[in-house]
Amino acid sequence: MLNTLNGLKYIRLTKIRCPQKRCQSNAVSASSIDSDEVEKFGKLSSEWADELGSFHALHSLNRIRVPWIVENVNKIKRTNPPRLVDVGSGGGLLSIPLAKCGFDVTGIDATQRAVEAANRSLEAKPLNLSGVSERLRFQHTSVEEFCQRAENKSGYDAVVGSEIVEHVADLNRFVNSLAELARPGAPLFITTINRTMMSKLTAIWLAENVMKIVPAGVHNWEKFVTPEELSAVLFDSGCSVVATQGIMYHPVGNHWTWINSTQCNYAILAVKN
Amino acid sequence: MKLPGGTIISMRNASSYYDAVIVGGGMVGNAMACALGANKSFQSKSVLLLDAGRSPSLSSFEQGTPFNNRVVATSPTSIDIFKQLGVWEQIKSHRAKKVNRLFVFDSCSTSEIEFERGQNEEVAYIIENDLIVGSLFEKMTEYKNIDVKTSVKVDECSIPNSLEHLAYVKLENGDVIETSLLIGADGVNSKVRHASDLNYTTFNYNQHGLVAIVEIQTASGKNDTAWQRFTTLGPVALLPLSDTVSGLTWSTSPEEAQRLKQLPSDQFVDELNSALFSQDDQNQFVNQAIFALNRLNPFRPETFGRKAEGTIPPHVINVQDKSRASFPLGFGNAHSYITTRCALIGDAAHRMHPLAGQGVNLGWSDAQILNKVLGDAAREGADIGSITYLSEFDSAAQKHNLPVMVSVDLLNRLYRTDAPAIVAARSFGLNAFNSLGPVKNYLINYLSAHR
Repeated sequence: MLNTLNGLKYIRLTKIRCPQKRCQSNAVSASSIDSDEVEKFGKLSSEWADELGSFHALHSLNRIRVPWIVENVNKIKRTNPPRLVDVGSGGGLLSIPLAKCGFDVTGIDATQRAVEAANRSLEAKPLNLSGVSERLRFQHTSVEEFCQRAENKSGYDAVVGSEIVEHVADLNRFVNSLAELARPGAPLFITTINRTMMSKLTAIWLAENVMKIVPAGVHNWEKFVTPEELSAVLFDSGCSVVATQGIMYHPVGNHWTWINSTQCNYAILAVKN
Repeated sequence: MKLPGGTIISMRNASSYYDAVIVGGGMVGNAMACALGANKSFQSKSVLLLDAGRSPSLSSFEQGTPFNNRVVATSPTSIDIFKQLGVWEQIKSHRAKKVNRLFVFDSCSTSEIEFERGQNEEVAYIIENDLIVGSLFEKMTEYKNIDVKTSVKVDECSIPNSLEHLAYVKLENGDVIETSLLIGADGVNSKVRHASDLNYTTFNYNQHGLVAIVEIQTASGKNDTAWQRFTTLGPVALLPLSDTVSGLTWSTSPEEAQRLKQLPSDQFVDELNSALFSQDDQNQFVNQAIFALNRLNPFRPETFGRKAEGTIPPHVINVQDKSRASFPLGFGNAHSYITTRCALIGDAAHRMHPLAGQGVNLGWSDAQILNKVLGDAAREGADIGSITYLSEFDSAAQKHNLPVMVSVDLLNRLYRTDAPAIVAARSFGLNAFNSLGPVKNYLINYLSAHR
């Protein structure tokens, strides 16, 4: 029974994760990015605002990741408004709520069409009237290129990489760049999927080959990252891991909860030394 | 809008924007506005309430002025909501009649059931609808984040398919108001619900509800029991408004309602007393069985020496002039109360038989649930029109409302017959239930507990 539940969870996850990953583009110079993903998900750019479409589980994931980020950033000393960078921001699904919660947010993504979709959403009346559009911007770039700019080095009070690290080509470079962006003492928020037999069974075999929810080959299980590996890379990048916690998707009701097991999805909170 | 050169452009007919627009300024819409006005997470949001009428003046509810014929049995849970909204003191300072006991009996048998809560704890308060509307209206104008437009008619509502677009309402004067969330509190024939395309199940009971204000006389001079007698045409209820006045809700066939409405006062009073006291429909076999069962039941306090006191309804002596009105009764429920950028509350979402007096109480519960969900959405930086959040309101509200609605529907069906088998079944059932103290208390607490 438990396996079945986890399986379902994975299937849904798989479906959503791909779109989020459209991080890398040929147009952007050499980076940790996987260029194949870009085209796949560029096509989905019109769906960002559709809560029932491909991204529905990412919409509902906000219900736990937004409070998680907001509460932890509010605990530390920061500029006002706190400057936050969302790496792999896609259509702005996470960046916009964070900006509405009072952050100054820069979203970067390597998929041009996702960035275009995000920029279109900035024109919305609610965001303009409330002044949120003024403290929110999206850029089409890679994190490696972005962190090289002088104004960005150690320039952020918080760094977010949600549902992205399992899709990058070079984990070390990617995490290093995230750490570069954070000023000393700033938190880094990462959510991703573990590399376990469970995820091989559900996310790869069940979702791709049996239920054909996603095209075969869209996911590369070998690129999933374990919490231990991620912690080690964070450590090498000059960050300390503060907490690691599992998260679970419930397909019935489309909601997420925090759990103890990190077998499937998990979140890591680290702090730049 | 000011342009260079000092030209002032009229904003009329221009489109304006509010974070939320509530359509309908009734008991539920006004409660929604008050809740959002007090919601800490909503202080930076803008809310507009559109009311087709004018707010009732509170001065017409001073002691001594005639009662309005539309009254509502307000449950303890709803009283708690009023307290949270800060309108309870206002309502109480005018008039709200506390009911300590509810007594339900059957025209076809001697079976009966009474509901009481602990000493000094009310079963309900009977309050005039417009007093509630007016008190809520006065409260909502205190909030900076709430705007109100009265005497405006909504011409058209539009609800988008995705969050990419906004919802809007077009008023009859041509003004267009855009919004992130359209809240339909516009009653049974909700325009918002029609625009939403949500599936809606509805049927008529082929019954009309006749309301009136009646003068009554009780043996004790006190009037703090709500009475309901089931007759084969429908239930008759007397809801106390003062020691000498009660509100009548009489469900009957449409033809009967029409006839009763036009009767001269004295004849109307006679027919009403007959509906409350007549023994013509009593089924002797069922009554003998009940008598025997009662004698055998050791849990029943009245087994030895039945208390006659408090089991006879008051005599109606007069009906207030021009207070009689009637309206059709029906059942309705939207399969979902929400869609992207749209939420339905109160009668717009669901409609039920008035026999349990639960209809508007469910509406206030809707407003309370929706208010919490919208607060969460605002706090988490989400779009308040997002189904990710609204669906939480939908499932909580449906789960709360449906059991009540279905039970009330069944009760109404069960009591509209004098077929002996059904009379026997319902009588034994009700009687047994009445004698099972713990079970009954559990139900009372479920329905009226301070949650």
